[in-house]
Amino acid sequence: MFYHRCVVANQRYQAQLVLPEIGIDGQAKLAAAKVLCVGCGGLAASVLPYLVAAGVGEIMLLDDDIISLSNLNRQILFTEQQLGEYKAKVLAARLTQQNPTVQINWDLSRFNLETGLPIVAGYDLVLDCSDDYATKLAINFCCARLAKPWVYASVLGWDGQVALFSLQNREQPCYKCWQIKAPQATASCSVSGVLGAAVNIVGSYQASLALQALLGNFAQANRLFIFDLWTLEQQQFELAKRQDCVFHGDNLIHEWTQPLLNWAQLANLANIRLIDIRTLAEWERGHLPAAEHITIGRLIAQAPQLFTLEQTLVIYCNQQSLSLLAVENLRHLGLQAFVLNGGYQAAIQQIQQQQ
Amino acid sequence: MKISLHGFGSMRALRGIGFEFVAPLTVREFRAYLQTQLSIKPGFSELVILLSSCAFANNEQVLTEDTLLNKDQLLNVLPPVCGG
Repeated sequence: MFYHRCVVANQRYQAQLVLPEIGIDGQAKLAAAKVLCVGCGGLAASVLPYLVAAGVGEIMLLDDDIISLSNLNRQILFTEQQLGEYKAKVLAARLTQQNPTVQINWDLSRFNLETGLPIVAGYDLVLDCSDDYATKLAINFCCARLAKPWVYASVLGWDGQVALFSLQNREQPCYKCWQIKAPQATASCSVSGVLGAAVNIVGSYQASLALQALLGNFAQANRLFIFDLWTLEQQQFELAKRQDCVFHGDNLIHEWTQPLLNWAQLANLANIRLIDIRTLAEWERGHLPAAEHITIGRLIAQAPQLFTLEQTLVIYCNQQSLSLLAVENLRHLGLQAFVLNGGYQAAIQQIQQQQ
Repeated sequence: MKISLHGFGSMRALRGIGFEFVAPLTVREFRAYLQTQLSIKPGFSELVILLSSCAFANNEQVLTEDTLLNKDQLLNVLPPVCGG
């Protein structure tokens, strides 16, 4: 039986086993690899069939969205008969049919700054197949924290971008080193449209970079590949670490010493909005007086609509790591944002001491 | 010193546009200058907004905001892309 399986495996992967960059050893690395795919839309439909065909051992699909008619111009593994079904579930079934030896799992969880870290910890590589800035930031944050490589990809109109972030040490650039400000709403497919063929090209590059990373080759890492499918141009640019990037280790705390406020200082501020970015469950268990609850994903994505320049924003989470991230993004938008020093726990202690 | 632009994607309309400067300036300063110039040009208002999220690159690498532009060069304008 074992011999039979080996023969079948050799036949299935014969065409890549002869590649000197893969061979028997490389195939074993792919078979042992675990990949997390965040988002199951157009990019996932383009990149995943190549990873499954190549024999990546295990793939987790994360997406809570359902298939709609407007997806079908680029999400080419879905059909009209599947409208209304969960993308992750349908994609998992489709990919399992393609190669039953690959373990395909799926989940309807949303990936964000609150849920991401424990999920990413279980995988060797993350594929960014998301379509919004907040999710890309969350992937970057989690992968930087855990030193996990990820392959960023984005498509809009006739254009695409791909980059492998290796994040093996703090000297290497991350997504935030380059994409310093939140893109406007016009940078999404629903507003500006997208060409299916562009998604496919980007997905192929994403698959190639992912396979290279799983094989241990990071020669193409930390470079931004750009495609313009209208002019058929492509170009690549080296990315460098931005020295003041808050995603890089110790800088996270050091850089934001100045915008820290203690609970007692809030009484001296005018036009203040105290914002709790913890989970809804944590908020419901207890929160600070006069606070309002906004999830960090919504806060980052909708900041221009939620806040004005005249307001003083004080952000808190359980301690302060997520607040630092939120404040960094708000400040890039020109907003007056501060971190509540020590977060919820410290503030509660200070309130109790005052009483 | 002449800075010529090569825009990708939604910034494609910037191709062929160039500006002359008598003194070096940083990428941050150039971005602000470009936004001012485009804001008075009919049909470029949306690009002015997008420019705040664009990255600038020479032909080898993406440039930081503090990079000094001090010679004739082509700047690639890389727009934000967030779809999938």
